[in-house]
Amino acid sequence: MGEYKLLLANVDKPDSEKLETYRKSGGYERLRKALFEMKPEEIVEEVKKSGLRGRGGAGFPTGLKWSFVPKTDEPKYLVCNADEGEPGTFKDRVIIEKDPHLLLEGIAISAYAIGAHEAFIYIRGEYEYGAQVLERAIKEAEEAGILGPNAMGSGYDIKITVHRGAGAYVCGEETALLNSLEGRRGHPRIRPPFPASKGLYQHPTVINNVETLATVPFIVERGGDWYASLGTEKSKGTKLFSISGHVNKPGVYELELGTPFEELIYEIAGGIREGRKLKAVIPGGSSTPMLTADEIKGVKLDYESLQAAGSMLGSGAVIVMDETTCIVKAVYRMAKFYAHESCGQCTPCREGTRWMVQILSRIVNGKGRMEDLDVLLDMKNIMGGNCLCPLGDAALGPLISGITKFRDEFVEHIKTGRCPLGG
Amino acid sequence: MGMVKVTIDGITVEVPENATILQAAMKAGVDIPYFCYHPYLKPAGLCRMCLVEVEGMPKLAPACVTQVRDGMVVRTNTERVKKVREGIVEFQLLHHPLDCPICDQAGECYLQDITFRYGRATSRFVDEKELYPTKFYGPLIVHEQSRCILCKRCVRFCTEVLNGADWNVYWRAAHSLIGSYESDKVANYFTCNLVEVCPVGAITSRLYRYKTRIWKLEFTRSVCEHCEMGCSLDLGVRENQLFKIKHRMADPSPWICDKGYYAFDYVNHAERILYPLARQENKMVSVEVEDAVSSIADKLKNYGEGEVAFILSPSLCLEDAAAVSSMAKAVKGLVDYRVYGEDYLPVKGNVSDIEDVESAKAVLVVGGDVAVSHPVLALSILKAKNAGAKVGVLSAHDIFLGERVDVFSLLPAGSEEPLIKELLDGNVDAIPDLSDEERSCLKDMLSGELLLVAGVRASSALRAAIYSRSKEKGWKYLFLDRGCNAKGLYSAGAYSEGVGEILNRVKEGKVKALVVAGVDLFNTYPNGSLVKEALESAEFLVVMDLFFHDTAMYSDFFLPITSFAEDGGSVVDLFWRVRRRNPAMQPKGLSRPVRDWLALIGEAMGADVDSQGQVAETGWDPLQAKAELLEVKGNTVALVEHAFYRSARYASWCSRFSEVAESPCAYISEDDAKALGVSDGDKVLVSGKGGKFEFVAKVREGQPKGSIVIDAGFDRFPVTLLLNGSWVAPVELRKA
Ligand SMILES: Cc1cc2nc3c(=O)[nH]c(=O)nc-3n(C[C@H](O)[C@H](O)[C@H](O)COP(=O)(O)O)c2cc1C
Ligand code: SF4
Ligand code: SF4
Ligand code: SF4
Ligand code: SF4
Ligand code: FES
Repeated sequence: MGEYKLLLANVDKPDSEKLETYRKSGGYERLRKALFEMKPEEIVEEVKKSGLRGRGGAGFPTGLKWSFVPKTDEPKYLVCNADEGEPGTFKDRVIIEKDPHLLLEGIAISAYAIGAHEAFIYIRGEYEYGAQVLERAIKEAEEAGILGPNAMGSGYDIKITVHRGAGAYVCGEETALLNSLEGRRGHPRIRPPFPASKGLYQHPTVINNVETLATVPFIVERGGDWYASLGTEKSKGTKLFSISGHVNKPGVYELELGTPFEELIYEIAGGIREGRKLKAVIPGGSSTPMLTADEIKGVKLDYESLQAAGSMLGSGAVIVMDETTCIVKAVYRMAKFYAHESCGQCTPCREGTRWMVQILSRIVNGKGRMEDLDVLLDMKNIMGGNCLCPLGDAALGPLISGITKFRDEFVEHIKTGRCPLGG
Repeated sequence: MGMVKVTIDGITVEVPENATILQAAMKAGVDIPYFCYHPYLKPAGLCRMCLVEVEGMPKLAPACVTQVRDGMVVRTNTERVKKVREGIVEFQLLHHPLDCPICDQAGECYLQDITFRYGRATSRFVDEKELYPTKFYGPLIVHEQSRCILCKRCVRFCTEVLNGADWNVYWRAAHSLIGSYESDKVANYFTCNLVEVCPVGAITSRLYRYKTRIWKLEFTRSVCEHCEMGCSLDLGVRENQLFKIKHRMADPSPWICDKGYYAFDYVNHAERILYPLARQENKMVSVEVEDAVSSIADKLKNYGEGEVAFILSPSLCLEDAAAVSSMAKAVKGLVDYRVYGEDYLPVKGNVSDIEDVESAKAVLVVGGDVAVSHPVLALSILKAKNAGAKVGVLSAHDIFLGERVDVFSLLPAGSEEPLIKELLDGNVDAIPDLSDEERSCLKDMLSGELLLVAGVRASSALRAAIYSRSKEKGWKYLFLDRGCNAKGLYSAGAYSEGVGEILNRVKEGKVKALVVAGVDLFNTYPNGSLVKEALESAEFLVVMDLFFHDTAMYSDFFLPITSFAEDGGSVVDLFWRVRRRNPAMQPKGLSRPVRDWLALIGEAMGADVDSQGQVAETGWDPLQAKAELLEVKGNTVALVEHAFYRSARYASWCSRFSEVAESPCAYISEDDAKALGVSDGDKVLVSGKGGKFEFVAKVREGQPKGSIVIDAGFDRFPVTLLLNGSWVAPVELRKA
């Protein structure tokens, strides 16, 4: 357990984003292997065996997702989700900017595996540099005959296009992403139908996260069993963690799944700033419920352990808050984010997120009432599971966990009209 | 389709396997509240008002989008569902202005009803409401943005039914607002449906704004009088005033157009003539009914065979038409209803209802703008398109359908008919301005199953060509007529040699007495000077109508008639169905239906007037037509057409409706515009046979060079003076 450099093996090399550098360490040989030596079904099989789960947040088994694509003649699409909008998450960016060819190779192999000839990388608008890097890399690979028509002389056409989003968080949600990609408003679609049967332009589509797709070349190279040997019983392989907040060495680290939470915080990320005490952690991006310092003791960083602890691994975005943090303010800040980013389509999310902000703003400004806490907690009954897409639930993550775990702090704000931490 | 059994609150029903829980609940008689669901729009699952418990599903399911499964057990009466309903209603109301006392939707508002039934009694909201300003979008609609519950019904109507219109959601989250992107005026011919689909008082009609409360209105089912589609309408009347129209029964379509919805307030107009008038010296004075009747009867008695003629609006009801026909017979006079100068009569198509149109594989519209003449038909054609049909529009003028279909060419005004004929003869290349894709699509259409729709402009010669070609190829065909009851007037035998022939005979002094009912010939007949000459020459002129229009100026007697809201007649619609209009109000003043006036006059003359209309079994056989295809040559050829918002009956007396069309426009080509140094919005002068008129230029892409289309239907703007019997004429175009 601990750090393991698979995805991040290349990123520190000089000129790591160049095709030449990438090829020196065996780049695109996995694509060659896939195109010339493997049938699409075999790749799907290996990915299933590897136990790889989606790294975009939901953790859905990747091989299984691919197997839902119907074996028909209609066009199919692969979409790489590079929207990376979840607060606290900045891991895909490292791959995009430092090892773009790894991502392209992963996309090409995956497209071949599901029978798609066209793939899109939907990248968040703010990643302007990343988009440039990717476009340059695609050009290089096309000029080298690796991508494009008749990729590597295999007779299989693979076209990859970069599409820049316009900065809405909800466009990271896969069906909103598809609408946005089609040039419509980024509003999530109702499911069913699922993208695997009716996705982009109503054709079968697979959407995967950057990190998920970047893992695929290694599975093709060394086999699903090898990948499955990393990590824990149910959480296989390695995962990128973006750790931010009050630690000494924030950044992106690649860990074998199952690494102890405390090892990440206290060793790998250098411990809490200025020797302060840990107060709370958001383990997997702002929508995952926060855990107190006590709650993370002995917890491992993998899907099941975090679920057992009452939260989620999510996108692996660890936000660390030390004892100087006002939880009320932190919750308020996150509520504002969701109220701003809700697409506004469905009533519970649209109205709930706005009301949360109104109430929290009052509490922060010393005008809270005790009844407010009941109303805030009741949001869970009205919004929880009742929204059109997962964003509504996401907005509940910090709110409900913050109030239940740090109720005293809220009560004190309400009773005294001030922040006990002087914030 | 397989059937499945579903149990809802203990009631088991059998429904098709693709039904939703909401549909199953409707069948079971279980009320599931909803906002965003609409029976004729795709389910969207937005408002979450319809959440229910489904056994075996951990989350609540939105009933409007969740498909049933066999054996599914649904509960709507649990505490969990109750709490969520309360929550959703509470959420909807948080920032809602709740200004019900001044809201036009009050009384028929989903939010009111659902709050009453499913909401909680008190609100927990103590924060400030965020309100948004009222937005007026031209004369037809107003949007109270704060009352909007963002159900997107209006937007979905625009995308799913209109295939796109400038109406969408802007901004996001709780600040999402519905509106237009660039139009200050929203008037897309079907605007009224936005009002009708809006479940709350967000989009309301400006015509009805602050007029009365809905529960004060008494509604009577009637039929629209503005075209042959015969849309079912519900007329809301209070104190013998017609205040509001609703479209509650989806017959023939779930949608209506702005004519049916907005063009009715003329019924209450202060200028309506409510007493008989007679000419005394040079003034019209009001006279007693008995005096008017006996004077007219005395006059008519004295004319011999062929000396009396009747010209009727094609929108008079069947009974009126029958009465006129029988009176014409009694006085051995002439009668005709083709006031637009048509040389054709109704042909019975081989399409039996609107579903036949909606399920067509390919539809080709020629010789007319269906969105103006038969608006809802255009929506049915779009529906066919959305179900996979290929659709083409080949017409000298088009405002709505063309830009939404697969093949579209604006044909030169003067040679529309010969070009279509050539196409029917198999020469696809005859049609100008088509892309390769359009051309091959058109070829495919002509070689397969096709529905040919002949617009109202298509002459008898073109109709004959369409008819014989369709018979030969096994195509379906649908022939459109002007007015709302041409088929009824034809059935009643109210036709002879055409209105032009009658006018000529009046002018020549052969016909001495003329009766004109329900129409201002200056507005409809495509030869204003002939109308003028004829009316001046007529020895005796009786006009029966609602308003003292230009034709009435020449009358010796004016008899006030009832409107469609009062008369209770029937009409024969596009598919030859007889449609009855129930009288929704008492006749105003001394107005009465045409048939009643004729009965009185007949009685005074000792003639029997029969108003029992029978519907004709067969239509006219266009192969009898011996006319030539219409072709007009000239450097500039103009097609004159009524602007949509001037094309309803009595449009000049419809306030909001006619306000939409502010000034008459001339559609001109980019080439002509360049040559004249004219840009969009500039003034141009069109001069021709009988006058010179000023228009606002609309430079239109695809408009052929040397061909223009100019608007008719404006007040004191007799563009029919430019015409010579058909709607196309050579003119001169200049910059003003
Ligand atoms: C509001 C919202 C935002 C999301 N944003 C992202 C994102 O930025 N990047 C991402 O990969 N997945 C995001 N997701 C998850 C995607 O919907 C989807 O599950 C994921 O792209 C699937 O890829 P994976 O299976 O490889 O994880 C988001 C989901 C929601 C509900
Ligand atoms: S949950 Fe929020 S983001 Fe998702 S569809 Fe509803 S309003 Fe939009
Ligand atoms: S929309 Fe309905 S609830 Fe709102 S003010 Fe109007 S009547 Fe009242
Ligand atoms: S304007 Fe009316 S129909 Fe449109 S979204 Fe708002 S409430 Fe719904
Ligand atoms: S004008 Fe025609 S389409 Fe419009 S509402 Fe009346 S009958 Fe229907
Ligand atoms: S009616 Fe089902 S979500 Fe609105």
